[in-house]
Amino acid sequence: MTWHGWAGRVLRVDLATGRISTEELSYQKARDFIGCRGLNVAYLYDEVGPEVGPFDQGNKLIFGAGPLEGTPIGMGRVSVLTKHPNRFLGEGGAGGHWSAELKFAGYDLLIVENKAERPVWLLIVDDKVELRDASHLWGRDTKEKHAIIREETGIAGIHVASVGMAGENKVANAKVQFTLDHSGGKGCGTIMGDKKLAAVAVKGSGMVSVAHGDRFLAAYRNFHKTFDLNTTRDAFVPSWSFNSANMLLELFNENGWVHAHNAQMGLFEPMLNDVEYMDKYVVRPESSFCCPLPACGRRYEIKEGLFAGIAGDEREVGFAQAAPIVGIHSYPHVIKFRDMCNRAGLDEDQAMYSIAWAMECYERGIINRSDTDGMELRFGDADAFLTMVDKIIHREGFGDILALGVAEAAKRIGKGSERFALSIKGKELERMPQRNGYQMALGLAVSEGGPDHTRWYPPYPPNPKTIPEGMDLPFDPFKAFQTRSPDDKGRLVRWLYDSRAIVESLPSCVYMIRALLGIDFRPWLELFNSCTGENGDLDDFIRKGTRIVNLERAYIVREGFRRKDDTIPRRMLEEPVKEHNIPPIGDNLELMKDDYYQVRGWDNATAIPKEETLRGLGLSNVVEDFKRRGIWETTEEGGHE
Amino acid sequence: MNSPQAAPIHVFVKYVGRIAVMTGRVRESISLDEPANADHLLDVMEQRYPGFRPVFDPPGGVFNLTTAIICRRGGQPSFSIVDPQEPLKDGDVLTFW
Amino acid sequence: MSGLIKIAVVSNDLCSGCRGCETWCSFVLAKGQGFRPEESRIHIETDPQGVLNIPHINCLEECQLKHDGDPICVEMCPTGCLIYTDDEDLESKRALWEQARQDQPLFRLIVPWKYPYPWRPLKRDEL
Ligand code: SF4
Ligand code: SF4
Repeated sequence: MTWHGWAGRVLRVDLATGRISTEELSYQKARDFIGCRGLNVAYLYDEVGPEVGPFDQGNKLIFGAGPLEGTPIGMGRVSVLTKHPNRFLGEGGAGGHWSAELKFAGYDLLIVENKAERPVWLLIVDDKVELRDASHLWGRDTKEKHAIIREETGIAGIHVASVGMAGENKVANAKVQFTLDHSGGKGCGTIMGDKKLAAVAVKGSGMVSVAHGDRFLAAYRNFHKTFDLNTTRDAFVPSWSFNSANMLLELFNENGWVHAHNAQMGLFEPMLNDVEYMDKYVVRPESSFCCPLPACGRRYEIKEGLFAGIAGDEREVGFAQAAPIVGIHSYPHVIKFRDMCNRAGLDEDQAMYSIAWAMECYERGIINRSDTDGMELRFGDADAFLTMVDKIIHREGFGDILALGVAEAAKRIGKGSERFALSIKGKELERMPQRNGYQMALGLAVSEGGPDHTRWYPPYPPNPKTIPEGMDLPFDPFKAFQTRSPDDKGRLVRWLYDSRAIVESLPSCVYMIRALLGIDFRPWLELFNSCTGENGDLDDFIRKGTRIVNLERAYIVREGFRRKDDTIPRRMLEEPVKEHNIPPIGDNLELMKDDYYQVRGWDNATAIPKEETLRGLGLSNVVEDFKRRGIWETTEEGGHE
Repeated sequence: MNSPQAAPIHVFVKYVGRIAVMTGRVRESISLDEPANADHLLDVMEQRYPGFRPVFDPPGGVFNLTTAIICRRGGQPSFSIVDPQEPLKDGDVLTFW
Repeated sequence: MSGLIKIAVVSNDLCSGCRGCETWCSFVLAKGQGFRPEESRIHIETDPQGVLNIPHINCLEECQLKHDGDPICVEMCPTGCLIYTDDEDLESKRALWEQARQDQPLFRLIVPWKYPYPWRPLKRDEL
């Protein structure tokens, strides 16, 4: 068939045999799950069942572009998926240019199977695909890997996905690191390291076909208005365009959203300042493929003083919210931290929250120098923080325990330390507040991919005043806007999940979900239809998102996850944010979950999708699978440990 | 009646992102005569930084839609100021973004 | 403006490497049938260390896709790095940008004439 948008081809690489093959993309899957995040899970569900352990040969690593990737809507977004070491969906998106190149090379999906005996890397240049020996890359950091590959291939514009030392050493949530310091897929780096796949380099020269060029151009110009500084109606856009997530530093602080000192405090002063950062460290803009924002991505450089010479690209320096979590006030340390994570492919959240947990345990006397290799580990000690980050990357001493992830580390240490481990489904939090935004508490709890706010971005419900009159939304905007009440959060979060699953499957960048583009999905539908030549209506479009989320849920249900696993850390349920006098969430989480499962058509006691729900979405293959495996007969406890 | 001179109150102001580009600074302390409200503060801002008011209070536009003011007061949950008549209190921390 | 009007680069320092220009140009050349940056009249060279993006323009013909007088590569350039004007105007705009970026770090990221809000020099001594 003739494909528009989609390339129509899947590339498979078997690392055990070295076999490389292509096959036609399943049109039925493409129609039902769009691409990227959605298509990835459609393939993983069929190919990696619960009998396959995360570190077994049979686990797979999937890189997905989508139909709109390679057009200016795609923004280089890739979704990487695997069975996470904790058995939920290890999924994450990353930007840059890698995914666009995969499309120009002519592939929608890359599926990596089995394990290599010795380190290898994969080169994709259009139809030329080859596995090469990677002994010279193994043990190098991600930036070195890129430089060596660029030199070796002589292709200046080549883009590289690679693992760093964190992935090679199988640190629990290691990420895949892409060029321009984009990273994604918590746990995917771990599995990539386990498969001994050092890197995937790609360059393409083909075309991404558009079915109706005039319509697409018109739809793009309409989309673009949201980000035009002259016409935008969204308070976020003008600041985000230049300060990116750094603009959130003070906003998080003022709203009591920061997790200062492992979320013991909701206020951290003095907070790092975004303007100071811009003045001292930002050099020039550096963007993902066709990003319409002038400088959400920037190049930074430490020109003098401590850590002089460090340079890189960022959207959110600093993971700057790292500073309050471990209590440091120094930009050079935060930038150094970022650089270490980038080079190692280390998940910054794992590093921050596991070290913050250790600091809290140390200050409470639960652990002492005999546990920490003789180090004092207190909040505010920036050097100790960086030393510990390095130990995690190299799995040295106490770092070897933190490398297991904070939940597992707390299990090993015991002595009540579990209470201070801020994790969900065994994976560290990611900086989203919960006690003063109940939609965020619910969104994090029910995620199929561990804590990940991009699945329901933006974290704040739309201001009811911005919603055009006559607009029909599946939740009550006024109730949803009361963020410290459980009212109507089930319907809100369901809508967020379903609609964002679409954006991440087209794909586009979740930061594009601004102003009306977060509420009204007709512009997205027109972009999709004009590009691919499909002609479904809005209901059908939203149903694709619902279908994706239900399949993701079915996946983790099959792995044994149940209602009890959809939770948030005890600290958020039981302790207030003192500085802002915000009460703990308490029973409200369970109330919201009742509400959420009900609007989803999932069983209230187990959170397993009901048969009629799955059938209504055309997921009869899942129904058959669930019947065969007796999933509906299982208990509330589920099967995973 | 000779009413006593109105006592000044002090509020602390932070500017984030684009607003800091407009003011050229990131924070300052401002005194206002009591009783003060958000509108009075905007007057002071407009005097110091011509062009400030229209960004927050666009003529014919909707207040607080394309910009926002967060108020933190005495250890209470922060709130957004949506009404120009909102009274301000001594010690308020106001973040403009 | 009096001289020959053409597409020019204000400064390589302003190029984010987004390849929007390249990608949209390919759409023009392909008559709207798709995107193929490989076939474009603009190419963005990235240097080996990744510290600079350099737009190379090889376009002598009139653009087939204009909007408000600007060719689509210029229309879609988010930072204002690409400009459609004559040499004289280019020089004066460059000088304007140079001064602005000394005063206000924001203008390392965008040209001042594309920035629609009021702005003031940054008071560095207060940071
Ligand atoms: S003016 Fe038109 S044809 Fe020339 S480079 Fe720009 S987009 Fe391409
Ligand atoms: S559109 Fe502008 S910023 Fe982007 S690559 Fe082209 S010249 Fe550079």
